[in-house]
Amino acid sequence: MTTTDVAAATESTATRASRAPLVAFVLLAVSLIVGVISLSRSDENAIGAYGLISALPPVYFGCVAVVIACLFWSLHWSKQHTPVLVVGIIALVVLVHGAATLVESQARFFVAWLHAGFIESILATGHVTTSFDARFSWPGFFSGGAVLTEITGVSDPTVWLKWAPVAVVLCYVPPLLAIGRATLPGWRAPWVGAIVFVLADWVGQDYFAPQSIAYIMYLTILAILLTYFRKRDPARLSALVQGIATRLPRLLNWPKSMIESGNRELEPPQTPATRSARIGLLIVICAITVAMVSSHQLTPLILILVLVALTILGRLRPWPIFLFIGVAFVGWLSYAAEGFWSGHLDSIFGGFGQVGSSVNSGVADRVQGSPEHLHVLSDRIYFTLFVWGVAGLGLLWTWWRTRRISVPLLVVTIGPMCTIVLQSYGGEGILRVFLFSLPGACMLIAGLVSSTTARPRATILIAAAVAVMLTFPGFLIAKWGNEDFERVSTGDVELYAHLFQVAPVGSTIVNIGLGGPGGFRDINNWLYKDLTITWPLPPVSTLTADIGTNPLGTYIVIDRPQIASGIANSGFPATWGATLATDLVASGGYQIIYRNSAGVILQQVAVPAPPVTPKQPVAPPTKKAAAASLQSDYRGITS
Amino acid sequence: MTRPRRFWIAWALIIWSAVAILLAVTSAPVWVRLPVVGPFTLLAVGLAAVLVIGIRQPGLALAVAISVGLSSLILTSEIVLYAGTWSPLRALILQVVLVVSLSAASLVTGSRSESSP
Repeated sequence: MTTTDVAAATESTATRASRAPLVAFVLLAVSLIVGVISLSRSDENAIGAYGLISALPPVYFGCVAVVIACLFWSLHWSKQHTPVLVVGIIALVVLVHGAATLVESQARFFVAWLHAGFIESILATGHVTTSFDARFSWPGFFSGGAVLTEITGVSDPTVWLKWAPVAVVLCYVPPLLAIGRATLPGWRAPWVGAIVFVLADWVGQDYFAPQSIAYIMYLTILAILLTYFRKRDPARLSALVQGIATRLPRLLNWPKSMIESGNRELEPPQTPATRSARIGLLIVICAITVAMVSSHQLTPLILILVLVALTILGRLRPWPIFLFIGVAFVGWLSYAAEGFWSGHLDSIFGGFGQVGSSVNSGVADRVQGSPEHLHVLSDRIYFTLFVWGVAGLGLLWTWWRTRRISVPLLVVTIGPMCTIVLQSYGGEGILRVFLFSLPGACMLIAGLVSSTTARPRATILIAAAVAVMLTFPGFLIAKWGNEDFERVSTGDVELYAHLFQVAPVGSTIVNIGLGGPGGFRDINNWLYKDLTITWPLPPVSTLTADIGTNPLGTYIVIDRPQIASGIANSGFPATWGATLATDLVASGGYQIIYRNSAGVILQQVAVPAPPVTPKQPVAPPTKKAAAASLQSDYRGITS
Repeated sequence: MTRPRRFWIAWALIIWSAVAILLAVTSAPVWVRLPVVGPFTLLAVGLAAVLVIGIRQPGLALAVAISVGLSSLILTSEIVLYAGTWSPLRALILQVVLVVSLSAASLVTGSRSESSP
């Protein structure tokens, strides 16, 4: 080969390299546009027992595959090309976490609609009704939502619901990248961690809810602490471990090198900051903490656990920070949330130490329902175990390659698991454990692809991209598997809108199960009761015994999400909703006052009023009575 | 962050505050308020905090801006809620005070660090 040939070849390679970002950018933009169009043209009624996956067009899978391929391709370039990576992550989040938003006509998930009702209640009254729901003892999210709604001139808080999941997951990405950058070598691993997170976060806590905002704050506090306040060389711990290790048999010496190392090769150096910047960052952490403890009850607890573990392992410099969070948490619980715990501390601390019970309520008790729903639940369990398993592999691989592990990442992954010891959280403890362990787990998984600063081989990146694509259908079933009863149609919204028009203020609205978007109007206006349905249906008189009568009217709504929920979660036959409506009408106690494609509204037929006797005026409920009523609402906080 | 950039961002935040409060007070139509006042309530305090502290890492700066912005919205709304003087406009005024104070602080600290040896 002549010198000219070599020069020409070099120039050709350079030209190809310079064109690569442009090609990737175009591919990402086209995939995003085509994917969005294909999703918005899909039929939401095609959503079946396995959830959203049955309504997704084949071209959608092609678009997601192209986005994943482009992202992993860009990781093989010698230099970080931030615009391509940013556009790629945005495209991935929109296509994956916005899929339901694009397919469905209305915002999904009935709890999100209920939260809009909470916001409307604050807008209407200017205060929080803590006796209505336990969530009102942590009203930060709702009061903030009320200010945002009013100040922007938006007439209805439900407008925020539809795109909230996409916005929330996009907000997770910057702190995740910062955590990755503080704990992993090179620029590639944090991006791999972020990609894996987007494709593994199936828990669905990213809707319009306090926990999604609290999770952003949790990630940000961790990112700040790991970037600016992390200790790389825990001398005291090192001496302690060395002391123990010298007394151990040779075979048991391995923990010494794992833990005491200081991880000089693995972890990047701590980002320098001036004294005033550090003080500013600590003030920022305190402000975020106060907002977090007043918005969500579980997130501060998990943060405290993780920070205590980091402090014990000598990895955190301002160790009293967890004390501040603890004091803020206890302070809020004692002052503003007194109505919640007063009189029933057992429901909060009764589960302490009962790990088996927590796991049972989170896993075993939930695995029930129709055969298709059981498949979805199995998929969730296997997917969760798979992610944790691959994270373990990532840890071992990094250890094998570098003889070092990142202790902070290990703590961020394992620390949240301790919450199972404290509380079952209404059966959702396991879900939260997975969610909070996910940032650390994803960064450990990133170690499989990029455990050092060196550029990974193309074969490794191709294998990683293929593995991610192969697990994607499993992720879709885990994430959107409940969509048949968690989606809300326009008919459902119309049904409830009609109900709120005809039901007088003070009348009773009866829920027959999880599902519809009930409660999206000022929740103080009506009394809500739950009707527990069993199959076969008992006689109507037995079934409705607890409903009682309300002189202002009693209404029962039977709609599509509730019926689908009964079929999936309880294994009821497909006709159970129609049978219930027929039985109620046949009993003579109820009449259908409205019907549309989504369901029916039944009104209790007025019964002859008993002879009027003068009554003592009803005294307002005492604090104790309000606290007792909250006992029944306890499950409400788990949403 | 270079001094001119810090200077322009601080002044942009102060002007944004003035426009946001003006639009809110005059009850401007929703299509004007939503794109101006909405992002202000969610981000402005956070951006001002990032400016004062001088966070250089883009990912962390964005994370802090988002979290501090959300926190300020929550805290100001809770202040007016628990003080028994519920008014979204008062919450916005508190946020404007925070943004202007932090922006002014960043201008002062910026000029001090510039003049220091």
